Amino acid sequence: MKISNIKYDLPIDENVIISKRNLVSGEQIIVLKPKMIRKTIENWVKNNFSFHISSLYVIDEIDRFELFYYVIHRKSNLSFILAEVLDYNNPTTQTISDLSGTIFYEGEATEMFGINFEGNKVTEVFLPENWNKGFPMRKGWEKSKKGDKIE
Amino acid sequence: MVTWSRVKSPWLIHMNTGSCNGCDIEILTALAPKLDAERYGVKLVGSPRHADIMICTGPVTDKMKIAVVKTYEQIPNPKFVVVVGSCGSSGGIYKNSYITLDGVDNVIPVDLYIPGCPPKPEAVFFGIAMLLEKLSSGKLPDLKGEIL
Ligand code: SF4
Repeated sequence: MKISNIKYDLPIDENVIISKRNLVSGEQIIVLKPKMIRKTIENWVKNNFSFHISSLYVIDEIDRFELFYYVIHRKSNLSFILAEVLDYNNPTTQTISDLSGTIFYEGEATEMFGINFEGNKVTEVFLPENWNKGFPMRKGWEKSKKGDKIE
Repeated sequence: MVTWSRVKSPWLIHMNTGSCNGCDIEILTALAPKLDAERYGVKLVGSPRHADIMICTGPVTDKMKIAVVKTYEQIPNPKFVVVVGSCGSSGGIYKNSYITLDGVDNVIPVDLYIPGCPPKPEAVFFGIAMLLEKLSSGKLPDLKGEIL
């Protein structure tokens, strides 16, 4: 089954697509306009399309963050990636944790990269309690000096 | 009578089909005192011959394939398979690996998927509750691989 058939089952509004590119593995990355991922997924859930989000990952590009949602199409077991570019100084987007089981993925992105998912309350799970040393997966994050205590 | 007893005491057999152990811990948390799935009669059993529902976690490794099929065949009918985690649903982070089979549904038929990496214990609990609700309607549910 080709990706065009997936589009038929998991429709994405052409107006919200910024760009598309193919990975070497054959998977397609579809970059959407800011805050359009929730709307797209809401539409899929409402129409009972069969999919799930297999994983979520973030890349720190120094001047921006890129957020990737790895979507699996259930019937064909094929995958593609929805992406969103976030402003570096105010990386905010909407949560989809109430629509599909991404609550921990988003929590991890919040703690490691400082990305704010509006509506997701899981923000203190992965790092030690009272962590106040910033976001450890960001480029440029300086690890604590020897002898520093985490309070 | 049989349906009633099945709904009141669904016994589970848990099978790690190659998972990283994350999902397994969440299943146990769903059975532990905070959520306490045991109050609905849900119980983990040691033998597939005693079980009604098979819970699988993991993408199914090459070596586990035979074990999964044999375990599935030993469960008496009617039986249900619930997959917990993204790995078991589609391969997850191990998708397209040379050693995994990209999901439990490539080996045995699956009734219910609970995706997430790992899914919260609440989601596992909700999945089991949904299965019981369908069972309690009197006829056997045709879930056709429903996704939560
Ligand atoms: S879904 Fe995630 S937590 Fe579950 S077995 Fe796979 S990698 Fe581990």
